[in-house]
Amino acid sequence: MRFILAFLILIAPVSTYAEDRFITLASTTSTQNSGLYDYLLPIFTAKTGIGVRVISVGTGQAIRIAQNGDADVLLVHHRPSEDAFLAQGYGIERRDVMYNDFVIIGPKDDPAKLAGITRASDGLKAIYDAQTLFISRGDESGTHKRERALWADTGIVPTGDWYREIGAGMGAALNMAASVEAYTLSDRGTWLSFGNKGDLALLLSGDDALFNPYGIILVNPAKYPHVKIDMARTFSDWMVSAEGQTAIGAFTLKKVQLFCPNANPKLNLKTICPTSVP
Amino acid sequence: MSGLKLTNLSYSVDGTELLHDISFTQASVGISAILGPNGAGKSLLLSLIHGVIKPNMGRVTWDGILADKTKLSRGFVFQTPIVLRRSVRANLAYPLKINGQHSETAIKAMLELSHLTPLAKQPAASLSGGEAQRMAIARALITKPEVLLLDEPCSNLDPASTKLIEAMIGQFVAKGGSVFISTHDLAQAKRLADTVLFINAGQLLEHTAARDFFDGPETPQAQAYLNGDL
Amino acid sequence: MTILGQAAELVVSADAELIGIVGLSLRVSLTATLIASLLAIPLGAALAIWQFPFRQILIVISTSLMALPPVVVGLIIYLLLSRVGPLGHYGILFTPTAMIIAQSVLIFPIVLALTREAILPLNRDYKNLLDAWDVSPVQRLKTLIWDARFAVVTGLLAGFGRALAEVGAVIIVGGNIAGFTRVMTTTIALETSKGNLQLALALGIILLSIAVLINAVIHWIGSFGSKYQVTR
Ligand SMILES: Nc1ncnc2c1ncn2[C@@H]1O[C@H](COP(=O)(O)OP(=O)(O)OP(=O)(O)O)[C@@H](O)[C@H]1O
Ligand SMILES: [Mg+2]
Repeated sequence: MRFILAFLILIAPVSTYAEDRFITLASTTSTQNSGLYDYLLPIFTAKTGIGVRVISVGTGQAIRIAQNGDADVLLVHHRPSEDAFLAQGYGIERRDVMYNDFVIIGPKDDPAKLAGITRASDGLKAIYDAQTLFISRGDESGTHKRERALWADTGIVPTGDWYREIGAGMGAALNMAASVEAYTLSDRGTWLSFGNKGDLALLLSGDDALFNPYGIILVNPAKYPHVKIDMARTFSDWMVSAEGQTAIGAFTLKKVQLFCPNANPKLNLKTICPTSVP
Repeated sequence: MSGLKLTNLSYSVDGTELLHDISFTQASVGISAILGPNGAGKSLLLSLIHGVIKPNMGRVTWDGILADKTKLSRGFVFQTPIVLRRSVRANLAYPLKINGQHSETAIKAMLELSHLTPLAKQPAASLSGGEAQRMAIARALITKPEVLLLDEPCSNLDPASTKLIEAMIGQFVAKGGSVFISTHDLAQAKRLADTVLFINAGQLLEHTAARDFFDGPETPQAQAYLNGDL
Repeated sequence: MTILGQAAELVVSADAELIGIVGLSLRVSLTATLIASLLAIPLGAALAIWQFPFRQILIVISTSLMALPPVVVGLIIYLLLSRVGPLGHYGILFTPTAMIIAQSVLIFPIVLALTREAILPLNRDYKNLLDAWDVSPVQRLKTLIWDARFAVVTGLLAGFGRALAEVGAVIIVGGNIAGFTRVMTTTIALETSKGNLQLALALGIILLSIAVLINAVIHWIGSFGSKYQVTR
């Protein structure tokens, strides 16, 4: 009895702090790890009273969560998967929200000589030619899917000791690249906010092929009646509104803007973007 | 039909018969000593008489009712005293508690009777062998049984402890209780017993008045046992 | 030293977010331990006391379950609680409740096996006495569990430790939602993935300190009357 009492005493003081009005957003680690949501969501919640619970996983898994009806909104970055999601009837009302770009990260001393190369596929070819280590996410994330598309452009099938598929998130891939001096493909946001850069440096960026657009999709209430479609739509609307877009553009990390809002070309917010990406 | 009656009782474990076809009746008064060499089956017989185990064949009845149905009216003190991992007082309180008849006066009286009052708060597991035996008897007596079964309660005890335990037995009998006691202490059996049950190798060989048994045992096995040759 | 310093700094700053995370960790793991124990302790004791059909099979299964990776437990609970799963309409995926369920499942076999281990020798000791008194099954369970309580609580603490340290299951069924289902371990995993290794380690030290504290408290509570546990 005394033990049960002790347990109750230990459990009791911790209250639940759940909002009544909330939506669940399935999204990617790249957006979460950069701190974007920590900046953005309080603004949205303050305005609407709607809480947003973010599940950040790889794009592939985020889409699967939404497909199972376990989220109300999806915010990911792999257009072909997004289109398939819509085509299968799981999602409705896809909108462009923002973009940033992928970058190739590698050891500062650059053994594959990427410096000076402008095309991403040429960069990968140089890594292949030098047979230097390359870390692949290997987790069906948006970044992984893009990496495979880039390899396909080169015509090289990446296999061998130098090519390591780790089946983990961006952070784990960067941690590993830092410790074994390898190249890897990262989104710019995660790279900038990453805290364990070690001897890694950004070696290649700016190619059109590295363009990384994010889209927001509502989970189809016709498929899943429990989906909180009204609140989800409020969120989606806000994200593409002038207010939401300005907030996205205003988010910086170490004084660098991480995402470029592109929902509405007429707002012409693109001008504040630092990257040369279209 | 009053008292104890065993009818064609056999007990076996895994096909080995440990007690063979035992029958006897015994009016439930006074003290019966169960004698016999090591491994004869004394402990088994006591358990069967109590009802804590059931025979494979035959039956044990008390006043015509099967022994295992009336266990609670008999107290059992096992050969190695079983000690609940609680205080001495809690050990005495336990049988009262499970029957919902807690009584401080009964506990106090039993502590006095067994001379354990100063040790009441001690962990029972730390008692000496003799103290543990005394506690086990007190714990068996606290529910006011009609019959007490004692399995070698005085083995390993010093004369003073033996005397104390015999006094406890004497008090119990004086109030009308019956006792079955197994012992290897022949002097003790002589001192206490009204009746003797002599068993050897699972068979009941003699069932007579104690005086007759010690004066002239009938079977050669009993003679040999008394002479220390069995 | 700097990591210890950072850990101390985190504690001293009493950051509201950190307090929330620590609080949730404790609430989830303690509740899970309580739920698992309420089921596993009586069942573990019953397995030690009585012979019944399928007992051996039950023992083998429950012991094997201890080897179950948390991720697998998480996955199974996820599939059950997902909207497309059999329990989907309750909508408890990605909530602390889901995490409590997952951890309860994880802890259950540990508490069960350790309770059984604790009760077995005691039952061997007590059996004849309790039989002689015709002690009812419920009373028998109570008596044996109570008299073996110190060993039982050790099993309970082992389960609690596993729950508190576990990350694989809670991250899958909880979703690591900031301010809602984020606990110590998932925060550590997240900070590691952000490359904030120092912060991750500092959080690890805090987690360890909390575990030490709780174990000490429960040990202290349990030490009342432990002298009765002397065995002969
Ligand atoms: N559960 C059991 N399984 C197998 N054999 C048993 C069991 N219980 C008792 N026996 C055997 O039955 C015989 C009688 O045992 P019991 O304990 O009754 O002897 P005892 O007359 O009390 O001897 P002692 O004077 O040494 O106490 C012994 O040979 C013992 O080995
Ligand atoms: Mg014996």
